[in-house]
Amino acid sequence: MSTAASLPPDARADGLFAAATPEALARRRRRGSVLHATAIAATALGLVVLGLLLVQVAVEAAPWLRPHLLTEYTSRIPSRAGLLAAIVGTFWLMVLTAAFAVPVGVGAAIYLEEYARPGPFVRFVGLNIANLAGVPSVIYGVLGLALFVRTLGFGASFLSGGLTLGLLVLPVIVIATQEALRAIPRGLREASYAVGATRWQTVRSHLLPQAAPGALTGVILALSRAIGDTAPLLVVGAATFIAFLPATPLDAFSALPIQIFNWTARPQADFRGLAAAGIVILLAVLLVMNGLAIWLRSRAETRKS
Amino acid sequence: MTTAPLTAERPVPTPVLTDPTSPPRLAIDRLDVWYGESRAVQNATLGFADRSATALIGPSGSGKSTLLRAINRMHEITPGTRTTGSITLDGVNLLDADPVLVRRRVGMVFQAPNPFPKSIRDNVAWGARINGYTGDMDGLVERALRQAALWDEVKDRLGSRAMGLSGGQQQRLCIARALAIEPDVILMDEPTSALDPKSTAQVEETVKELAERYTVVIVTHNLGQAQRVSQQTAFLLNGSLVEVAPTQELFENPREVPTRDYVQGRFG
Repeated sequence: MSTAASLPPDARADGLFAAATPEALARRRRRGSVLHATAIAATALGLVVLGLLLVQVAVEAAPWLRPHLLTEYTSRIPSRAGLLAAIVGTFWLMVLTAAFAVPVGVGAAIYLEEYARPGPFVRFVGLNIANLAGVPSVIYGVLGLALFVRTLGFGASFLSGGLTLGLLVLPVIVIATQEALRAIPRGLREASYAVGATRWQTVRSHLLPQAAPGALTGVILALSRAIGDTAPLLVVGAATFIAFLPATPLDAFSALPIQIFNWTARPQADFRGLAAAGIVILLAVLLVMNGLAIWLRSRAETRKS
Repeated sequence: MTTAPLTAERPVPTPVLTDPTSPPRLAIDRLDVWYGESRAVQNATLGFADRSATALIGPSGSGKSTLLRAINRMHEITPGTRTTGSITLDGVNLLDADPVLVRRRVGMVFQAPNPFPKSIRDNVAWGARINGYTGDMDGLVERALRQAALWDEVKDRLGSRAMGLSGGQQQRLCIARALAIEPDVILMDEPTSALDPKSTAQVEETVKELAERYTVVIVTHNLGQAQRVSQQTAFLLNGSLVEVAPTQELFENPREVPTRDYVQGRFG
């Protein structure tokens, strides 16, 4: 790095490289270190804010994190209120969301990458999927209300909520699966076709296993987004007071973010503590899901080769 | 998908190694291959005798890989290809047949080793399995690996990952994979260009042995390799077949000036 002094002078070129003098080089390095510091500050800002938020939530939640939070239904009396219906509701919502969005999303990605002829149509569809991924979730709520609740007559039910969240996460799953399929080297497809495999045999035996880790990560990230989303469920008509467990997908539903939202809106201070406890539980569920994603991914990675 | 029936049984092998008077098993007639607006192969006509190796040589972009890939319709994986003319195997036009069936009869080995990310055994067996092979699978795997001169090195670890093999071993595994579907023709697209000299020599030995049983077509940039392994050589330039001749004749006494310049290393 400090060999500048020992470099032989080049009379022909030295005058032309104005920024190669020791002084100019020091200036260039200074500029670099300013950017370096800015980048560190930006990272630190994010981490500090996140840390403060978590600490504040944890402090508020601490007195309310009690076992009966997981076993009791919600109540008008803070000391008796629990999250049972919300937790079970979130679980079934996620099951329905995944059951709808994973097959449809992975299927669409396989069609777009492996079957459809590349051309204006595929480009148009791809562009629109990317746009859909950016549509605010409340719009999906309105769509779910019109389509599932009203037109198809599912009412304000688990089914309507799960399908609405499914629509919301569909583009993310399609895009993640497409990326995973695109990353598979051409040689693998050629090898498969060259021994007389059909397209489906190639997809089934080689491409899907190779794409699985990437697609799986997309699915879990998508579900992580869906699990905390409140707006579409409010529009579809989630209930804020449910004191029974669902028996069918057409039952009324609640979910963790709905319950948290409802509690924060109550005037009593105790409910704010309960809401904080709910947030801690939601975060815990999220962490478990992300941990599961990492575990599934590494397992699929080792299976790949 | 309609399927022109390919002959199901392999014909009884003739005892002669290469009989120049017998009609070629595989014949390409006035073949044109287009990628969109550009013609990669134009008006190619040549025959390949059974139990012999034909080398396709020529500079980069001369169309030799495209010509090779047309034989098992692999070029069609690239969208926008158009193919006219005919490629017949035992009298059946492969261009009219279902490509899936064509590829069972015409095996292929690629430039870079591309084993499946599966076990060694599954690499060899998968092609046979999806084609509904009902015979003794272990016997087939052993036979294919022996023909590819890999059996002794892997017989004790057939269940381990193919990706753990060396580059040369992987390429011989790819040859075994191509042999396990019991093809009539074996296409090789610069099979040694990604290998070190020792592995190259091993693969060349294998190719020579294969040429005693199959119709082998090999694309190569290595003129020495073409002379070592092939009985017939075709020289392509800008998509056209310039000259086809017995290998020794083409290298020692080329009829065309471009062929002479190329084999003497004046361009390429």
